[in-house]
Formats: sequence, C-alpha cells, structure tokens
Amino acid sequence: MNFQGEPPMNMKHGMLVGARLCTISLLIATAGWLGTVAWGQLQAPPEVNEASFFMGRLRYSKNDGNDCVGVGRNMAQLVSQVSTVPIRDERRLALTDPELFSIPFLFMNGHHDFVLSTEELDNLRQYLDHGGFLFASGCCTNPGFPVAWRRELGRVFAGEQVQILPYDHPIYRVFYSVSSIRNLHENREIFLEGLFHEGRLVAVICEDGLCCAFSMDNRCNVGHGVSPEDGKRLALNIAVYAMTH
Amino acid sequence: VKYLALELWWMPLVAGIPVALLLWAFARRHAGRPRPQWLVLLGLRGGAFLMLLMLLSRPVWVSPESFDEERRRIALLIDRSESMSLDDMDGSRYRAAVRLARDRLVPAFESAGLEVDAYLFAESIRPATGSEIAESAVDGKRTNLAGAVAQAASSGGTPPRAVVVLTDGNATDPEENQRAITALLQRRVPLIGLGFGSDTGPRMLSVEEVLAPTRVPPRQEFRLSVRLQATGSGEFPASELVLLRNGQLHDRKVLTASTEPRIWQETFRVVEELPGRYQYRVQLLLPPDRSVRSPRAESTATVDVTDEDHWRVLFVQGGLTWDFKFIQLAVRSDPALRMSGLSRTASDSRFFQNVEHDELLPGGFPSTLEELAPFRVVVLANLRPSDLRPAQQELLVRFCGETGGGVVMIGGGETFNVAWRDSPLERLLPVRFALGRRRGTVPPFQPQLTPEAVQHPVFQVSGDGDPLSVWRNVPRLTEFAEVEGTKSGAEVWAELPWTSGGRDAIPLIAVQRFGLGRSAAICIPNLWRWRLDKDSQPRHYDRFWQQLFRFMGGGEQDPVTIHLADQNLVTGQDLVATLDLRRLGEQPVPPARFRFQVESLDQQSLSEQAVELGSEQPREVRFRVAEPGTYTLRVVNSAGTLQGTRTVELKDLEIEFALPERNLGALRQWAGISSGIALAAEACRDPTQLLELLQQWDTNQVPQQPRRQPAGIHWSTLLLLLGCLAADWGLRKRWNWT
Repeated sequence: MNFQGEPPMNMKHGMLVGARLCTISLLIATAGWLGTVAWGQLQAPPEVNEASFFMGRLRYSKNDGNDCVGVGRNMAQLVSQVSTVPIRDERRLALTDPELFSIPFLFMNGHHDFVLSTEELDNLRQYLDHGGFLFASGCCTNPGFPVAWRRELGRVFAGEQVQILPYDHPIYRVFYSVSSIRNLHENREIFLEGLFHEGRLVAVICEDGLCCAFSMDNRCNVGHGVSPEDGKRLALNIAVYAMTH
Repeated sequence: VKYLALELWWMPLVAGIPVALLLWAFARRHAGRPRPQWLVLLGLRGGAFLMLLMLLSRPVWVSPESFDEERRRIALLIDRSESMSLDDMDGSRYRAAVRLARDRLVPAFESAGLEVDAYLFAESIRPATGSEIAESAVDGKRTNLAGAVAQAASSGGTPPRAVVVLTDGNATDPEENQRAITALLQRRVPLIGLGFGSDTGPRMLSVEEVLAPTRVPPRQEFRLSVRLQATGSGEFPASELVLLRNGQLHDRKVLTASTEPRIWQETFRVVEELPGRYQYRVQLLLPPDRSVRSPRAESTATVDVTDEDHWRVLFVQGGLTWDFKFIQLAVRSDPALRMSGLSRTASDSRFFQNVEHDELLPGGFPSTLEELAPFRVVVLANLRPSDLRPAQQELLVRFCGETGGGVVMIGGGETFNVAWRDSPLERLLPVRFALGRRRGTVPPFQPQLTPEAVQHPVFQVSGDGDPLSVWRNVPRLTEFAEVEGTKSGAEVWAELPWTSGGRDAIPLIAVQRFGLGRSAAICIPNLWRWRLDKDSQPRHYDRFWQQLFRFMGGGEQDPVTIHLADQNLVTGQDLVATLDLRRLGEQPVPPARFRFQVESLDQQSLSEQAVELGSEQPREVRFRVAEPGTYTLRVVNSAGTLQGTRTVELKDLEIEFALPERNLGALRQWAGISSGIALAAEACRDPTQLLELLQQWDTNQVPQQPRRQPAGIHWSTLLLLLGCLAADWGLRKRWNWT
C-alpha cells in the first residue's frame, strides 16, 4: 500500500537508479575531461621557457622522424638526471617548417640513404648560421645514413666538409671526460664527426648507433656500435656542448 | 596563613548564610523530600559557600625570610664589549678582569659558602662557564650594562645575594636603566662594581680603509683615499701617513695635531707610467712616546694599471641557459670582448668556460673584489636567491658601486623571483621585484623601445640610424618577467607594447647608474630567439650585446667627476666635494648650469643646488646630511641627464672606543642606588672586604620584610567550587526538585 503522494515502489527504484546513473556519468565525464586536458598538455608543443632543454626531432627527405621513437624524451631525461636544467619533450618538425627557428637543438637519425631538397638545405644553412645545432645518429650501425649525412651536410656550407673530431676536442670533456670509445663489434675506436662553420662546430654525427645506445640500451643493436654507458655519456656531452658553444 | 580581607563586618555574613542554609534544609524536609537528598544538597551548597568565603577573604601564606639561609648565590658579570679589549692594564682590561675573577673573587666567594653564577655581557647577557670566559672574543659593539644588571638581578626565584660587575663602566646602551634600577630596588640586590682601565683612557688613531679604483690606464692620475679614525680624549699629536707601492716608499703625508675624536679622509694622488698590478699600502707612523695607540695601523688596496685591449664579461647562471650560448656567439665576433662562463650544471657541479688561467675564478664565484677585478661586467641569468649568498650579492654591490663594474640580470619570472625582494641585489638593480609570483604569459609581443633607447648608442645596431626597424624584426615573444616598477633615476629602454607610455607601463629593459658603475635588468627570457630567428640578422643581435657590454662596463666616462675633499666625514656639518667637468677631446667646455643633488640610498632626494661648471674651472660644493649612512652624490645637466655620480658613506665613530677612559662615576651611581659599592679594580686587593660589605649590608636590612605568597586562588579551588555548583544543579534536575 502506498502512502498518498509517495511515488510507487517501482518509480522510487527507478529514481534511485537514475540518480546513481547520473552520478556515475558525472564522474566518468569529469575523469574524461581531466584525461583529455592531461593528454592535450602532453601533446601540446613545447613552450620555449627560460633555461629549458628540449629538441626538435627532424623529419627530412622521406624520413618521418620515427626511427628510435623515444630518443627525444630519453635524451631530455638524460640531461635532467645530471643537471638542473628543466626539460621538455621533443617536437617533431620538418626542415622546411618555420618553427625550426625557435628551437636551438635539432636531432635527426635514420637507417638509410637520403637526399635533402634545396629548400631543406637552405633552411638548414640559415639555421646553423644563426646559432642552431644539429645532432645526428645513424641507427643500428647501418652505413646508409652516415654516408648520406656526410654527403648532404657537405653541401650546406661551401668549402666545409664533415670531419672527424679527435679526442682532444672539447666535446669529449665538456661534461664527462671521455678519453676513448671502443666499438663493441670491431676492434677500433669510435669518433664523433662534425661540420664546422666559421670555426664553430654546428653539427655532430656518430655513425655507430649512438641513439640506439643511449635511448634503447642497444636492444635494437645488440653487441654492436657504442655501449649504452658510453652512449649516454657522449649524448650528454653533445647536449651540454650545444648549450655552451 | 593570613586573611587579608577578613573584616569585622563579615561576621553577620559568615553567621547568616549557614543559618539560611539550615532553614532551607528544614523547609525541604517538611516538604517531604527524602532525607539523603536534602542532606547531599546541603553539603554541596555548604561546601561551595565555604570555598567562596575563603576566596573572598584573600588568604596569603606568610613566611619570614633569611638572607643567610636562602641567598647563597652571587651573580658575576664580566664585560666583553670592545672597549674591554683596550690594552691599558698590563694586558687588556678583559684579561685583567678574568684574572681577578679567577684568582681572587671566585675562590673568596666559594670559601664563604656562596655559589657563583658567571655571565658574559655586551649587547646582551648570557651565562658562561669558566672556559667560555677564558676563550671569549672581546668584540661586543655596545655595552648594555643596565640590561645585564636587570637580568642578573631578576633571575631565579630567590634573588642573588649581590650582582658583581667587572667592567670599564662605559655603558653605551642606556635604554634599560629604569628596568635595572627597578630590579635592584624591588629585589633588594646590592651592586658591586669593579672598574677596569685607566682613568685617562688611551688615545687611538687607526686606518679604517683605503679606497682606490681597481683599474686605471697608465699615465692617468688617480686618487687613493684613506679613511682615518681618532678616538679617545686629549690631544692627538702630529703623526705621519706613508704610502708604500709594492713595498717601496712612494709618498708621505703629515697628519696635523688635533684635540677631538673624529673620522676623516686624506688623499694621495698617484700616476703610474707602466702597466701592471700595483699594491698600495698606507701605514700610520705614530709618535714614539706611545701617547697614542693604533689598533689598525695600515690598510692596502690593489690597482691594475692597464691599457688592456679587451674586456672580460663573467656570465653566471644557476643552470645552463640558451642565453649563455647565444650571447657568447654574439661576443665572439668582437675581439675586444671575452666572456667567461660559470654555470651550475647540477646541485654539486659547476661548469667553467673560457677560464684561461688558474687565477681566474679559482674557487667558483669570486669571493673578493680582487677576484672580480678581471671582469668589467657580470651577467646573472637563471639565478635564484639560494644560488647567491648575501655576501656574494654584497660583493656585486661593491663591484658595481665602488669599482665601476656593470651588472646585468636577464631572465623571466623564474629569475626575477620575488624572493630577491629587499635583498642587496634588489638594491643594486634598477627594478623592484614584484610581490607575489606574477609571471607574465601574454599574447605574442615585441618589446616596445622608448625614445631614450632609440637615441641611445647601445641600440644603434643596424648602421642606418633606425633601431626601430631592427626591433620590428625581433620574433614575437610570449614571456616576460613582471617587476613592480623601476627606481627613480633608472632609464627604461623597452616596455611591454600595450602598456608603453602609460603610467603603469611594464618595463622590459631598464638601466641605472649605481655608484661608479651601472646595473641593468632585462626582464625577457628567450631573447636569444632574436638571433636564431629566420628573418633576423645575427649581426644585429651581436652588436646589441657588444654595445651593451661596453656601456655597462663603463666605456663611456662620466662628463663630471666628483671628488671628496680631505676633511672630517661627519653628519650635521658641511662636507665639501669638488666637481670636475671633463674636456671634450682637446676642446675646453664652456661653463654651463648643472644641478648637484644628494640622495639617500633609497633614492630620496635630500638636497639640491645649482652650480655653474666649465672644464677649466672645477667647483667646490658644500652639502650636509643629518644621519649616518650611504649617500649618492649626483650631477645632472639642465635637461636632467645624469652627468656624474659617486657614493659616500658617513658613519658614527665606533662608540665603544669614542671615550675609552674608565667610567667609575657611572658605576658609583649604580652602586649608590642599590646600597652597593664601586671600586677601581686595582683597589680590590682583598676580596674579603667585599664579603664584609655583604655581611654589613645584611645587618642593615633588619627588620626583614616577611615574604607573602597568595593562597587559595588556584585552578583546583575554582574547579572544586564549580564542581559543587554543577553537582547541585544536576542532582536537583535528576531528583526533579523545582
């Protein structure tokens, strides 16, 4: 028997269920909104804040910038582990992208041969001339990429070719003191190579899978190239050198 | 126990209330209430009544006091103020006091069954052990004798038998005199004063400091200013000041005889023909009769005489910044500029760059002006207050104000942090740090140059005379550091565009003169983007920094030089400064109207006067200030543009040494107030006379006042009273009594 004015039992139950559903929906919506915001922040382009380290990840020629996916984040984390420099995630951009000129440190890697277009070369020339720095790494000790890099970078500045950086160059001791780097699969030492412009080192490459070493602990290049320990020290030296020279 | 408020008229009350209670109980019984109930309530109300009565009658415990039985403690106070370091008692006064206390007083007191509580005092008082007294530094800047006496007399439940003070009697801090007198009289403690030192006091003459420029070109005259201080009373005979250059006699000066304490300045004029680093030592030669002593008879200054072809900039950053890299690229193309970097790369590591020899930055951030001397400009970037200690900030203040160096702070909200507020660094910079964390994130903007900047040599970067066209190519920025405003006298060079020109314009670049140097604030992080930008020309960015560093480092000499004449440096009297207008090349400058201004350190104008000045006619101006402190002297032209500036510090004589003779009169006054005694220390050969004095003093105090302590008013009494009333109320409710 229902009291007067009181909703019937099935109606009361329905209201209760409805209220619960509303609450749950509200919670889900709130969680979703928060998640979207957080994801959006993760995906947002890095702000160029004072004293921060981040890098632009280059898409060039036909390369989409996806080789060794986490290399930008890992490099930034490497910097943060040994320094007070705030870090930000990498930003992917093409050599023809105007935003190239707001990011002072670029990284490129790959496995294969490539050719830079005239527009890409012009932009890279201007970028390096204005003070930018380019760090490159061949993936998995694949010879195609470094050969192409030497050739293409040799086209950037007239009369300047990529050259080996001997161990007395400051880049080997700017943070860690690195006296020599042994190749894991060949009986030889590994050297960085670089391109100079008006006496200033503006671009550096390591052909022996440096990015695999410091980013992936050589899982993709087991027993080859640079050891993970040497790789992390070299990568950090390159980052500090770029910020101080 | 004595009841202070129990009077005769209380008797009817005392008798009437119990009668009323009994009548009430009788009535309740006849009303048929159970016997136990009314008996309980009667007991509770009777108890409450008795307690109330007891409290109203103000009971006190009265006990007679015996000094012999209770006052077994002597408070022994030893003065450790600077004046006790004077050496006129076969060693210092302090040593003599320690000897007397250790060898005679303490053994005598202890043999008489008294305990000795020892204290050291100067500005404040603290208990001390024997070893602490023996090893204590004698460096107190003031003598708060009254405060020490008051605290010693008031200490403990039972007053000390006596307060024994070993001092020279020069109480330089009289603020607590009344408190001390009250404590001595209320607690009836006699003061025994033993005075140390001679009654005439030593006269002392000392070299306070030598001021000199850290860097001068060869064959140009410069001045070594010597600050001297004379303390004590009587005549100061003539003495001599000698200037040694690298250990060899270079010049000498006679100080005339005088009769009063003072601080004053003497100047040596020096010209060096050859470049090099010269050490100048100024020594005071006193008369051989030892009538005047000198705690500081010499002081030194180092001057680099150099026609150096390059300037060095020190870039200090709390963490690596891109600014460092790009500014370094900017100065690379200027052979006259070199930049050294000092960066904190982690909490425990530093990164040095372009440090070419071991003498440069030997221990990280310079700790002395000599270590900073190789640098003309210091740039601070990405620094937080914890990165620069106050002493390091003070060093930068001196580097800028006294040696003419330049200091530039660059960064965003993290760098222009409110935590710097009221710091020495804020005093140095042309901006005030904003309260609260206000970090600007705004729509993209380009800094708006002010008319002053457009005309300024620093901003002539393009060669076509139009700095605005260059700054229109600066990439749009998104961040700035919001500061509270600029200081008066600062020149704003760039502002946030939509605020520009208004009263609340937000400065982005500002500069000011500070003493002999300049300081600047660039409240823009990521200004390096200007160089990297696709549409910019790196040479514009490079020239801006090169010209800024030249300007900050003092490349442009002030048109007017301000010299302080040799004189007494005192407040409340006229001081003389000489204004010297520089020639323009070989051409003399005709006389023109200038204004001479005196400002306090917080840039409040204190005085201003007009003066006519030409390059061939240096002028003397007179000014005075009322209070000790640091003041800025400025000369501006008729358009209000600053033509010359310098700082001058005026301070009081060191008060502890101003009148160094023993002041037994003051001790006798203290002793007289408390029925004690004051003696010269040398007259206290036998401490038993002090014990006899104490015995005599006890006898004179008879009849002794009994000691009273309030009884009854205690939290437990009040709780019991409230408990009775509450129980009565609760039981009546429970038993349904209406």
